[in-house]
Amino acid sequence: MPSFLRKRKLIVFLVGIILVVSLIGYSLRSDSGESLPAQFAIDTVGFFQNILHTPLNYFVEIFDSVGEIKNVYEQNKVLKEELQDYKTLAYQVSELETENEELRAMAEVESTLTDYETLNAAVVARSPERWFQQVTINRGKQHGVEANMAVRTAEGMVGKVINASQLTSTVQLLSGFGTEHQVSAIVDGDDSIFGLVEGYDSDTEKLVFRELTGEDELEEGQAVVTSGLGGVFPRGILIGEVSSIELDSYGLTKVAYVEPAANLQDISQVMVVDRDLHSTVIDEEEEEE
Amino acid sequence: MKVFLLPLFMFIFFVTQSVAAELIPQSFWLGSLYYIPHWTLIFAILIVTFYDREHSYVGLLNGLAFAILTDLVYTNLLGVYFLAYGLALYMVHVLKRYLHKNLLVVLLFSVLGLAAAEVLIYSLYFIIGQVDLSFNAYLFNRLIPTLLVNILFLLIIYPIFIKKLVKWKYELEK
Repeated sequence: MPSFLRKRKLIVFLVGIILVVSLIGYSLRSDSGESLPAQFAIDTVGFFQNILHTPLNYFVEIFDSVGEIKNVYEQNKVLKEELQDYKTLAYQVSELETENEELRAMAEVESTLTDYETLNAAVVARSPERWFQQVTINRGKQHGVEANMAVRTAEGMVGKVINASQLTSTVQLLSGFGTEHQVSAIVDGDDSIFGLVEGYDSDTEKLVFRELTGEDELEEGQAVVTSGLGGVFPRGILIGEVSSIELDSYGLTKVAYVEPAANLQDISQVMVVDRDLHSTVIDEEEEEE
Repeated sequence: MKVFLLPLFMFIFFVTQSVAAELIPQSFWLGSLYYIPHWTLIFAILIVTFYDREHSYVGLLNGLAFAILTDLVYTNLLGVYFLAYGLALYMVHVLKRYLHKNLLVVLLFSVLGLAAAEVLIYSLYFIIGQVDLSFNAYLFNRLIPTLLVNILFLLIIYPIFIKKLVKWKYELEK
């Protein structure tokens, strides 16, 4: 019955197209966390990625360190000089910290937007699909990671957790930020200039920072840090440095292009940032669980 | 037995491609060129050409299963890879009737299938608004490196798997 077969194929094809389109539409609309089966699938894949990543990373590190050996002598000289300054600096910092704590105790402030704890994690995989700049880290809900937490390296902010499964989580890198992931930020200076990091310009590989205060003090070379006003990120995580400034297309506000402080291409160790002062949204979620 | 072996290999390639993407730093030697590993699609094309018979769909089903897994694990949008891999593999399935099966034909199938899947993924993301790259930039920065790297992968796995796939096919027919 060839005609019947052909008809059946056509029906399968059409139903398939309809299903796929509705699936795309569904996942475009729902931006909440993944369902339980999805978490299970992600965790299973993450488990194997972890197994494969550990020995391979070991070899890659050996190659890297062989390449670095020739620079070690030069670096050592510079580092020794810097270490001298560091000792005095560390002393000053500990002095200031104790003073800060005493003053806070006097003022009865328990925790502020700048306080946070970090959780170390290793990057085990990167989305091979390079439209979505996502990496997988080997820490999940069991270790205390929640969705929307900021993720940083020693150099600066790299992104935020968009999905926390039980044992792994998915991190959206800054280079994949669009209008749906805005970061409330300030420019470090005498007067803090407030604005939003709105996205990433993939041609110039710079972040787009739109200032909202409308004043003219934005300068090249200034540091852009998180403001802590967005809800879950703490204040004061370095995002990057202003490299050029333009007027936006309406000529009303200024747009700065920010060079990310952290290397977004080559990330191996990250810290998940858990702010001490939780916003109401996260606390409500915890209570529900 | 073979029913489980093929998905196992697919799964190995699926996991390896993401770990490889993390361990090979992008800017190191490619600059602004990006390649996207579609190793599961390449292996599925091999299965379709050498293992599947006229009316069996092992390669297509494997490809679809791992496409939905790619959607789930590596992207935020379900269904894009599913559609792209499905159409690409079905195209190969139809085309293989008209050509002899050898290395050159598999190369042709892979280039066609990859290009179809990639362009479809690009255009779907473009419609949705995930991507705002112009088609010309996409062609030179992404599509051509992607094709070259995946063809290289095909040339590496071709001699390893080809005899086994054909052998399993005839074992199945007995």
